[in-house]
Amino acid sequence: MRETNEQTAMRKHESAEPSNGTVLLAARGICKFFGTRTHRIQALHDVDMDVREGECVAVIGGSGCGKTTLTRIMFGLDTADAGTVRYRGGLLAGPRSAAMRQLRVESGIVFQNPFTSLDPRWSAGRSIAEGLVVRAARSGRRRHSAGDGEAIDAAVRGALAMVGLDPDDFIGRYPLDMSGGQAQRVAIARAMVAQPRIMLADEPMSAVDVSGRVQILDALTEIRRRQPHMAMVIVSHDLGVVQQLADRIVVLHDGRIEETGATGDLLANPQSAYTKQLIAAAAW
Amino acid sequence: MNRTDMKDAMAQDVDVATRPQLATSGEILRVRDLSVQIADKTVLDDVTLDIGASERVGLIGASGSGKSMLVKAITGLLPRAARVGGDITMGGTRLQAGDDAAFAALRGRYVGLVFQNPGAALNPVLSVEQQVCLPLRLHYDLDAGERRDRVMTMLERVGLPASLAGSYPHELSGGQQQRVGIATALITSPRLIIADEPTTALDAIVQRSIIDLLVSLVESAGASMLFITHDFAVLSRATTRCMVIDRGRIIETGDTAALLHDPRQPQTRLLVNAAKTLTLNVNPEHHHA
Repeated sequence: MRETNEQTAMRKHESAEPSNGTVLLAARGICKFFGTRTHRIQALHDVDMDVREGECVAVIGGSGCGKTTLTRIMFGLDTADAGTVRYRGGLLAGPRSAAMRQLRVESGIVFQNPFTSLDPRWSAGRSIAEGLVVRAARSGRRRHSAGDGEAIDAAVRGALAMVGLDPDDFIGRYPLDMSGGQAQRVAIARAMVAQPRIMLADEPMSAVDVSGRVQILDALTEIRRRQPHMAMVIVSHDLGVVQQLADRIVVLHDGRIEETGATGDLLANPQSAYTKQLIAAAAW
Repeated sequence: MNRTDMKDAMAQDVDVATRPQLATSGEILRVRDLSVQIADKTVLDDVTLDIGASERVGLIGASGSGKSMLVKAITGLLPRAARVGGDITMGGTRLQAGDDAAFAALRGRYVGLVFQNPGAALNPVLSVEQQVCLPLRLHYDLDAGERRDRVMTMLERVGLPASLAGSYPHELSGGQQQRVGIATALITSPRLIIADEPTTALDAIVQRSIIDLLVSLVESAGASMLFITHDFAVLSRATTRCMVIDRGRIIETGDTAALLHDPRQPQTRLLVNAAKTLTLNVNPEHHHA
């Protein structure tokens, strides 16, 4: 039976196409299996999802519903067992494909736990600058010039200021000397410094306390205000944050899209029993 | 099983011979002028608190404010390098820092602990039945049949099917793992439950069911609870009195609803305002499935 589902998903994705020109990232017929040959668990069932330029899409759902698996596949951090992901029309077909390289350059990712995603031996300034330094090095010159260095320093300071951290104070600080909220804002600055076209934030607030969450929410809100064309995907089960940040919500349940809609409409008038349950639990 | 049935069953379960012969007064936990220093850093500063019989008390504070250190101090789990001053009295026993045997005699018997991350708190090489049974083996002289009966009854109470008794932690969902954690904490019918952010790692739906279960079981058993959280919705649901800790000091204490509605201290106001900012603004009455 599972094999049949897999084959069905495979047939379906072959005919799927991105919807229109404003779509940056398009997933079609995504299936993902975990486990062994004798005990397979299907984590995603034939999932379609689009992310358009300038919009913030929140992916919500209970633990284990497939939120992180879906977004990791969409951002090229994992592979689907069936289905396709296209970035700006180009198929993500392995790490060396043109679309994947373009996505890597044009995307920023914020992970759940800043203390495991930041290098503890690197200062905030060095962590944030790394992507720019690598990019300068790959631009054809072996070493970046003094002019590059000044531009990188200015970009790092700008990114720190954007997330509400004093550049003079934080540029030389190490993760050990930061609170959870401060460290996550450094991770956001790192993701934002190269002005990505699309950003993924995978439960960016789950590892920090309530004050830190507000600081991160403020930072993400400011980023959206300053960069209105950037698309953002936020994975969260914190519906208060989703309500303030997202334009659109995708509800996942047991690896399937349960419901999707504009944030205000979906929260005010959820259609499925599961979404109602999710909102009732969050609005405790 | 409704709440009355559960209470009756719990009363039958804990017979006189096996109930901890400790506190008989209304005072479950008494802490006076507790100070803890680690490597010249003061992590707890002059903490004084009481928890009475059947009281459910919340402890809130920002990360690093000393919440978890207070739990460690109360349960004798501080690092050896810690310098401790002040008095802790639990169940009529005055506890001295470093008296590992006295603390060990109370942990799992007089005081049950529910931890933040059940995946890390449960022993990965023990089955669910072995895990829940462990406090009974350590503290009570029961035969194997009686231990098994109590474990299976407790699994039923926390909503776990008997078929999971032989499962290992990695085979369970986060919510199931936390139910095992709660069963392990409650199996000896302790007088005090300390829950250290027990739902932080869980999603909203599971979180709600776990809190309701924990409160219901603690109430049924007539136990007291110290509930540590930075989730104010959980705090309102689970506790009646609340303390706020900031930089190792208890800065405010009072009725939970009143404290959240009208915080007096600036640090408490910051926390409460932050929590309000993050609260989902919908009418929950419209969303019951």
